[in-house]
Amino acid sequence: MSGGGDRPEEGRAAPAETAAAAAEVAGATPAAAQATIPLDLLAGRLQDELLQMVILTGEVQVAIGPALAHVPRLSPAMQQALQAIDRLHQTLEDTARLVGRIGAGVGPVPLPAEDLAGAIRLRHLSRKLLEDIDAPFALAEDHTGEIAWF
Amino acid sequence: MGIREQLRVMVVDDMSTSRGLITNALDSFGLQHVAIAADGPSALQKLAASPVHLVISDYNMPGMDGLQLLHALRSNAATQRVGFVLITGRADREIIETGKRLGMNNFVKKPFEPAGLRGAIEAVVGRL
Repeated sequence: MSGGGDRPEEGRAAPAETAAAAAEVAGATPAAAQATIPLDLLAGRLQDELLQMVILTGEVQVAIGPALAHVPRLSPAMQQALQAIDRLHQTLEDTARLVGRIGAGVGPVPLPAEDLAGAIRLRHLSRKLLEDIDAPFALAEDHTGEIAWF
Repeated sequence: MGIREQLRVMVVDDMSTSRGLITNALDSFGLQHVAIAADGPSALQKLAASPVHLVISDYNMPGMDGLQLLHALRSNAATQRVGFVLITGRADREIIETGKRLGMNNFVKKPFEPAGLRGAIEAVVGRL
């Protein structure tokens, strides 16, 4: 697992806020500004997400590992595929550490949030990484209490 | 009684899936006495209480890697003659040379196939 030392501080402004505030100071409308997210902040969130995947992979391993010992017959293809879980687990661990180091090393370089959002297909993941909103659903904005499922 | 009935083996791997797959392969070879450990220190503890003929260990484990486990086994009079097969995803020269220097009997590259594992074991203990 990654040590806490790789993790950049989370005390920065949210992505859209940084550029919007700068635009307001300059007299421009907030909408005209290109929202950005500091690289180190994004790297920290990516590291957290990767570590969550490490935990999930570990749970998969714990669930299937003991059962495998006495499965009557495993095809060579299944043997190979299951061994990939081990590699996946260890690669995710290393990648999480590396992303944390990159974030800490490069610092708050601004990245265009909208461009990055275009590369993420899962809306929940996009909001989690770029807006720090971690919820698979949210209450509707009209305050009706209805749940808007994404 | 054949070698399959007598041979006592310990599988050391921190990854539950790998442990299960290796144990599954040993089961399919007809080996009946297979112990498991999730890391080097617990393997050494278990081996002190219940010796085995052969240790099959992953290389890449946190804390004590497979070669460090091998070194610990060879440094202890009670375990210095145990057979040792290393399973490694990185079969580079440095690891293999260090393993040979420490007294590794054989190695298997990941991802392994049961036939390859069987061959590596038979090269150490004889035909199963």
